[in-house]
Amino acid sequence: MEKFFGAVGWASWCLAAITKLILAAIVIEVVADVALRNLNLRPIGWGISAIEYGLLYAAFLPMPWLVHIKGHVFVEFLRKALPEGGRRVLERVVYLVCVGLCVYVTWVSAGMTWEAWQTGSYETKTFDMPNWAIYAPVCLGFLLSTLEWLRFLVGQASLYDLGVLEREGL
Amino acid sequence: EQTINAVTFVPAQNSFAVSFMKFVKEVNEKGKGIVHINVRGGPEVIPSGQQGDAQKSGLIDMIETPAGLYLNLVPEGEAFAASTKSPEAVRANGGWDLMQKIYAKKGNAHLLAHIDSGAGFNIFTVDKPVMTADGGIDWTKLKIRASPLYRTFFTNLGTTVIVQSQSEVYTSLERGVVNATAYPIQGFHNYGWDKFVKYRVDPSFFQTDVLISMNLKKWNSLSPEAQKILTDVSIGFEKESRADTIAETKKEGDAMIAAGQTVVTLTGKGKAEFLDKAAAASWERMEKRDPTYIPQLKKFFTQ
Amino acid sequence: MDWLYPFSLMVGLILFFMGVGLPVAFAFFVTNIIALFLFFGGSVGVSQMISNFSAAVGTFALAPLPLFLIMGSLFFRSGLGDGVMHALDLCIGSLRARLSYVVLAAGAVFSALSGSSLANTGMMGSLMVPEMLNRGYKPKMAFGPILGAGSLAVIIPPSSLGVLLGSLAQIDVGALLIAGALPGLLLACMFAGLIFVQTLIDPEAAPQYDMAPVPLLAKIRAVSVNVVPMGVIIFLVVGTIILGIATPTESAALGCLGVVLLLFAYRRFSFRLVWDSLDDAMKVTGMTFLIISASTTFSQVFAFSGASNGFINYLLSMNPGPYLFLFLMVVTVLILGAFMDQVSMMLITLPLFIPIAHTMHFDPVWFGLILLLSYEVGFTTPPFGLLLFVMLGVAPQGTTLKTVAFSALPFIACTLLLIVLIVAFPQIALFLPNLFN
Ligand code: NA
Ligand code: NA
Repeated sequence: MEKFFGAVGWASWCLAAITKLILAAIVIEVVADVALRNLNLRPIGWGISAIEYGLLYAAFLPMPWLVHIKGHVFVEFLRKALPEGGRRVLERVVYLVCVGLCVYVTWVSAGMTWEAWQTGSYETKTFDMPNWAIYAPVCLGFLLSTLEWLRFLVGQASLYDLGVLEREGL
Repeated sequence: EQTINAVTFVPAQNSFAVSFMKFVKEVNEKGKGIVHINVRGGPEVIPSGQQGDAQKSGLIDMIETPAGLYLNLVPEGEAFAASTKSPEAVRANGGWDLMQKIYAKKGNAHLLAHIDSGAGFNIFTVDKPVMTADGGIDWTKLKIRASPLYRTFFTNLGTTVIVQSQSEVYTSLERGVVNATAYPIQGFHNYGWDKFVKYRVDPSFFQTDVLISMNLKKWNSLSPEAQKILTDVSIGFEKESRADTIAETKKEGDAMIAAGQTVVTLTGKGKAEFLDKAAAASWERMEKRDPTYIPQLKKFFTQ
Repeated sequence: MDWLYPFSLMVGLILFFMGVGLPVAFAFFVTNIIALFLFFGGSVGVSQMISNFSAAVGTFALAPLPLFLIMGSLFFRSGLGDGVMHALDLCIGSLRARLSYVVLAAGAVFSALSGSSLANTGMMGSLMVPEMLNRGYKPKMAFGPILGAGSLAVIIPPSSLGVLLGSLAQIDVGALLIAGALPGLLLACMFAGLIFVQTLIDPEAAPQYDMAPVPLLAKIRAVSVNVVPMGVIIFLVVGTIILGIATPTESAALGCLGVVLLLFAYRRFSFRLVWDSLDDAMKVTGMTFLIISASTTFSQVFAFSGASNGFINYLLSMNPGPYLFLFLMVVTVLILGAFMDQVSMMLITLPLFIPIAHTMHFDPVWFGLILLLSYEVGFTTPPFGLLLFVMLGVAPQGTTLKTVAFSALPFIACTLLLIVLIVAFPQIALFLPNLFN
């Protein structure tokens, strides 16, 4: 069991690392574009569309890792009103709802990815982007998030014992 | 009374949405007790790029959306933009029926009308275009904002093409990121771009390709009476909106000229080359995606 | 009133799921799926939700968000921020409550270099709180100025919250960013005045002690080494927009380049540092973008069900006039701000506010800046105030939320006063954007 969730965590970390490389690539692309334009050279035509897909990936690839490290922001104003025992029950219910949600969205998006792969459908921006490559990060993100939530559900870890400095926000 | 849920590709205050509301009003008046169109909103309900898919899946019953926004479903829809004929003529020569068949098959859609036709896209520039000896323009001097629809065409002309969303064009013109943009004359001043661009290049290229269409299953579920009302109003409105567009284009074009815009007209070989490249870019792209119907469509829409 | 059912159901569900502790993004997803099955196409609607993600976050206008995050993180993690603080410390003479002023000045400088209030507060808090308490400052004179100075970051450009607001509300992002500069400086001055008044009322709050006199040359040296080079970054972010070299979207990337160049100049560059900064940016971007994806569908179903139009028309039918409307909107944000983070608040309120602002013919930049200031207040209001949490994290053991929240109160009052001033004198907000237009 521990080994299994260890592997899940490792896979989540890898997706997060890929996102970091994507963000670095976006910085480089934009700087190059500005430089080329101001030197009166031809800007990178496919750049903007590529960045837009990069941002889509940046939304869904880090999702499981953020579940893992409790990085998704939450509030607790109703939860706080409950007594200790009630809170513990509620916590399990929350994990269960998250697992259920992620299973459902994984299921639907997997179907969409498969169908898009089969039909070869695509989206037109500066270049044609195959639809399966648009749905795949969603499917992958929700799939691994399912497993990460499952780790909370069956294990001892709690979402709510987070140190305040580790909270994310703008 | 049967109800049809509809969305538009632009927000309610935009002239394309206003035009659609005229169509809706006419249908709802003539269809009292039989059929009723309920406009649920615009891109805030379904993003404009997703409306073709939403119609195909049956999430929405009717859309007012340019064919160019869902070429991924129906690449042949680009023929409406590349067309040199009026919708009336295309209906008469059988082109419309062929399109109807293609949209049913690929987009699960029933076409009602090609509205607001009769206008094309013009290139507008900040600096005075440099004319060449053959009546054309030195295109290499332009950094032009493009949408995916006419990106290939501009690249073939030799301009520097920058694909951006509509909302960034104002800032880009202001900061010199681009020094040219393309848009129909009608509605151009709504964006405030005329503050920066001082030249309009004639002739226009392509044709606006706004379609009203319905989910095929929903269409088939309508009573013959309701279908007849929708079809009749569509055919009438197609003509009416074309006349309106032509008049409005003339009016708004003159107003911009009166406010200081200069028209630069291509002539001779330069003009012919410009229009040929526009047409070629579209037809080549369609051919590459699915050549099946292209020879027929070319015949119906251009000759 | 057939809009009331979808309206109350959807708002009720989202508040319920958030309140019981579901992460914000997941609360939105669950609510969306229930609402899609009730109002908009069922499972077909869910597929549509998934295909919409690309349009929701795959948009170039959101690119500055991760870029500003990378920039700020590189700046603070490298220690460039410490240098600025140190130089300012040398320059301010032996005033009463001098460290409070140092914090404020540093906050203003950092605000022009970073778009994140959390980063600024965390950085200044961890550095200055122990020092100030050791020197005998009362907690309110330590926490308050740091919280106030930290919150400047979202008003003074660059601002990641401002970029998000501009792109969600379709306000010219460049104009909105530049519009924040003057009010931000004004707010910093008001904060300085506040600290002065506080020490007048309670001289014991901050001890007076003698500083070894620092020679002028040393001051000049410290500033020219640590503060002046930061002008490079400010130029790359704001200057390039004004000179037409880059669009507001692109300037964020140039800012990243600027910090990297400074790191090389100061011999502080390392790949470890870059990787850690990318980590910070990845986390916040992933969290924020997921919420945006989720809440976009929420607003779409909200619009389709007629809830948003119904609510707006209902309010309009009462015809309260523009100023009362504005007042109601700001109060709504202040109340929500007590319970929610800034991004969720924007996503819930903007679909309702923006059409109203259009109907009332509000200037979008002016209106956007007023909203930005109102959202900013939520950072320091309990029970859910992200900056309060950060401060608690760096404060000594045993500090209560109450102490921290009370010390922020006078600074919140200043921000509210500034909102009133901007309503009364729109030029405070619009002078700079109009100058560059
Ligand atoms: Na800032
Ligand atoms: Na708060």
